[in-house]
Amino acid sequence: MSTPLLAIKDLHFAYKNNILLKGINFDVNEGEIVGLIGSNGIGKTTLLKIIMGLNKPSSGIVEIQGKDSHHLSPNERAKLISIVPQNPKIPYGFTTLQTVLMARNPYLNLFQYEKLQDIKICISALTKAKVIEFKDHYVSTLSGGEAQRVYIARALSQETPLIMLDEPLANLDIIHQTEIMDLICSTQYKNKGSVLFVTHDLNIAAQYCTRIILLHNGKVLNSGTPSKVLTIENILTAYGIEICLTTHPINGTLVILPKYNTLK
Amino acid sequence: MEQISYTLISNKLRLRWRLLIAFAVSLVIAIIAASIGSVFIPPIAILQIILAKLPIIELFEPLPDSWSTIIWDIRLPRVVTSGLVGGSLALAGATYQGIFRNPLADPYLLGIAGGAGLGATVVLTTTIPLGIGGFSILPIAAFIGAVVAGLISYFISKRTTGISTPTLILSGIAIASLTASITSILLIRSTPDIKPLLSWLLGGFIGSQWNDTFIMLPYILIGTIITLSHARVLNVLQTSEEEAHYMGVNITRTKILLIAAASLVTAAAVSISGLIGFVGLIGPHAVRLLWGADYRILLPMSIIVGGSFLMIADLTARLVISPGELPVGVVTAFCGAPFFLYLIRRGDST
Repeated sequence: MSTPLLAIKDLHFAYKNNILLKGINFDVNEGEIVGLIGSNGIGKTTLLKIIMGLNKPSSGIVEIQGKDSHHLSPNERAKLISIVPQNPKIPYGFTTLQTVLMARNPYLNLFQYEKLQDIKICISALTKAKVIEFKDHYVSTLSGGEAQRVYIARALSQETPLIMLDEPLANLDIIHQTEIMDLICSTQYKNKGSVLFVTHDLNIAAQYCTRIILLHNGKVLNSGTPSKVLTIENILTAYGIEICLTTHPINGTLVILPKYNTLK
Repeated sequence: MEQISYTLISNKLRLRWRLLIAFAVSLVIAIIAASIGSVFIPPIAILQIILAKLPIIELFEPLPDSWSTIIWDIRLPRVVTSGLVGGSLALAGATYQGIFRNPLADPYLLGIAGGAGLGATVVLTTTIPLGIGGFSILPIAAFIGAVVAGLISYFISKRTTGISTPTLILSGIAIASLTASITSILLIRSTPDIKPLLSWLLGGFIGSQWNDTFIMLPYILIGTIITLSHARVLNVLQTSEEEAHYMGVNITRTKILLIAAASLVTAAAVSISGLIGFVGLIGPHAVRLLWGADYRILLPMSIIVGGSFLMIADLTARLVISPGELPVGVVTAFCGAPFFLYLIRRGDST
């Protein structure tokens, strides 16, 4: 088997005496759409930061295309993985196109201007993300959903084999949620790239992921296809809530419904 | 795509043309500033005097010798030096604003100029030799003072979410006061005649000579090249340090390099002309208002606008109470402080 795009090996991480990750192991291979799920505060965002070399693990290895992530420069890493963070900061006074062009930074030297090729890539990403009409608007004037699509266009413009997204759907309505997921998954599928995304929306995970990784208590509780991971027992262990499982009437995918305690 | 390639090329050309035109305007300002004074000397004569210094050209009718002395030995060095210092301070201000991701950063307000002043004063008032083998140590000492002050104000105001504006300004006030008080102690203890040192520290271009400018030029050039080369990276840094890291920027290295470069430029400016405030604020913000926030235009244009501003400020300082002179810092503060308040009030800084 070929080298996985991303390999996490026995990763431990502690933050101020609080042991967050206690031996995480998983791979992300070419063409996979992997969902990373688990309850709040379990360390999903931290895990993404460790992968990007922003946090240092206590022990364990992160390999990107077989290379130890901590020996990669930010520039080399940025050519392999792009990320849409949870709360991107709006750069004051920059237009949408200027913001997306920043993603071409890893490919340019000091003094160098973006070439025509770079602009083409960004324009095409903006078109795919359906925000091309805002290309000369300031990002600060866009709505939450529009801005989120700009950041996704930015991640796409970085042209990396792996895109990671940290709760990409948090501020989006139902139509934009599906549009964004369709966009990311189809683009990466076409480019034979992969997606690793952190989400709280189990139904979105069930719908789009080829594989789901469920974190619990600092370890991978279960990993595999949605139907393997999203079981009543696993969800009860990880989230402490009882659920009903049913099937999507059209797609045939899993649908997860919590047992609501309503007064009705 | 046709249209994109057109805008791409036209953007680049437009940037060059704008810089060229702005530079030409600043040259006109320089010549006008040199022609005005106790004796008015027509701009044409100034051009003739400059050209006459070139060895080959002997085209013009002779001008009065006194004119040549006034222009070449007194006014031009002063105008050029003020332009250079203004450009340096504005470039440093724009760079600090970029690294701190805060529009209120300015070498004077952050206490960095004060640190440079203290560094220079230490050399001037103690037994440390002024130069080693013709190589002036003054800017190096000023540089060390500037870097230390810059790092202190950075680490005090840095939070995980970014730089906090109130702490940035408060720590700047504290650092500026502290460096000023240590500088005063050093000055008072060292020499019975502190007047020349004090007048240097208060800031100004009285008695500027070509020599001062040439000594500082290499430092200014090095700092300028480093900052200009990082213009695009500074753009990326305007997102957040975390995101810039994700987009391939080596944050620690970039910050150290840019703080060092901006401090070097500040130190050179302070070594020439003492402490002059608000130029680092006015220059870059005027550019932002006119041409936008892209650091590729912001940095070079700040040099030109800051230089022009200080040339005009110095001219004003010479003229207002003629034949006496105002300290140029009075003029820059008169324009800069209200502008600073406006920026605080606008509040896009947090």
